[in-house]
Amino acid sequence: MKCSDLSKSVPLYLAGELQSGLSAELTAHLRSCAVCRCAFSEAADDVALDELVRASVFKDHVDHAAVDRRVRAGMHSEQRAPRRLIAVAAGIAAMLAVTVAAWRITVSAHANPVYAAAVRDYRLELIQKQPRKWFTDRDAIARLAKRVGLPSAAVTAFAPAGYRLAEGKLCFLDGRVFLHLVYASEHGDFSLFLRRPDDGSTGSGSIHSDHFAAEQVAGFQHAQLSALLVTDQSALAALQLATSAAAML
Amino acid sequence: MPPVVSRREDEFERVALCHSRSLLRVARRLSANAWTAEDLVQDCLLLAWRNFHQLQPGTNARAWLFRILFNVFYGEGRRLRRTPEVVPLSAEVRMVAPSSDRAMQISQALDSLPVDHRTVLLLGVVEGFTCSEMAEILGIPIGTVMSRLSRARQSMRKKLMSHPKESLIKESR
Repeated sequence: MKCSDLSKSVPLYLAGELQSGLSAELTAHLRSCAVCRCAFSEAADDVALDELVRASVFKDHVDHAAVDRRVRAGMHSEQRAPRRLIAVAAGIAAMLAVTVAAWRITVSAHANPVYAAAVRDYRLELIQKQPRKWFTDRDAIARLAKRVGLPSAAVTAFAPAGYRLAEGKLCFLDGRVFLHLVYASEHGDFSLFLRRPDDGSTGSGSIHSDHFAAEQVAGFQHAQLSALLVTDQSALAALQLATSAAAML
Repeated sequence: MPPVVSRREDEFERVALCHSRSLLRVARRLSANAWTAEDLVQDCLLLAWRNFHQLQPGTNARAWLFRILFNVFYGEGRRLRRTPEVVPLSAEVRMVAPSSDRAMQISQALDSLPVDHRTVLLLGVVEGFTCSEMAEILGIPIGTVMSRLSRARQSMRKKLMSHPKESLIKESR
């Protein structure tokens, strides 16, 4: 055996896998070569050391079951994350929609604060149905109309086709007193806000309309009264109702 | 009702989670205590889960996991490594403790090595990675791996110097 063969043979020899003939050759070579004897000694020592290290580490008590459980739980929760993200995205979208609606109302309110106030009152009373004192008796409503200088008989007699006067009360819109009348039908409700016009104001008789998010507003004024109609029905329906009111009141 | 296991989870169990024992064994020798080692392996495996789609078929998944473990250890794990040992001598510590004085001496010699030297001994000697795999896992040149391994063995021999070389060979057999 030559010195150059030693590097290949030693690992097999130390593992006890070297053929017996080659093993005898290696042993004979080591007896005669001091350099190879030294190299063999170091290699043998490394192998022995490695085995001691392995044995020491493998004795460690390693309980991986708890880690596996936590990892599995983490995997499940991360898989659910997309669903949570969708919910968060839906929440953000809803907030944006509300913000845009509020912005539209604010912008419109700057353009016509009375219209905006009428829409707010409509929402509070008809949508949110806040507990308030309403009058449902026609005579009582007629007395309210009289108190604010409105033609009481005409007010209580007005009812578009299919609607009935459900209730009435006084309210403040932008610092002014209005008579708030609610007309109901099986298809939906609408509010009619009435007040006596300012002195000297005759009104043009034309109908103005606007929209605030889901609500439509239509207003008109003539010599005897100013009127605002608010509904969550279509813009066309709002105009038709306002036209009917303008003709009859 | 048991949770529905997806195909991806099933694959991850088979390819990655089966190595948690090896990862924990190495982490236990790298970090201050059993709890930080568990945190380290948990972070490693969850990171692997998040990036599981990046593991190409045929890739050495075990080497990939150990690379993640050392990334966590050298990065996010810095805080965990510095956590001081505050654990009293509990039942677990007694179980971990080597059974004899000689075993204790070897264990202490290993734990007292610089972390870089300990790392190559753990990966190469205990986990059986080749030098080129260790170079890939640790992101260092193969020559550095070999020199660290050589120095680590030298340090171990010095620490166990009271016992002559022959005794090491006898002990291991």
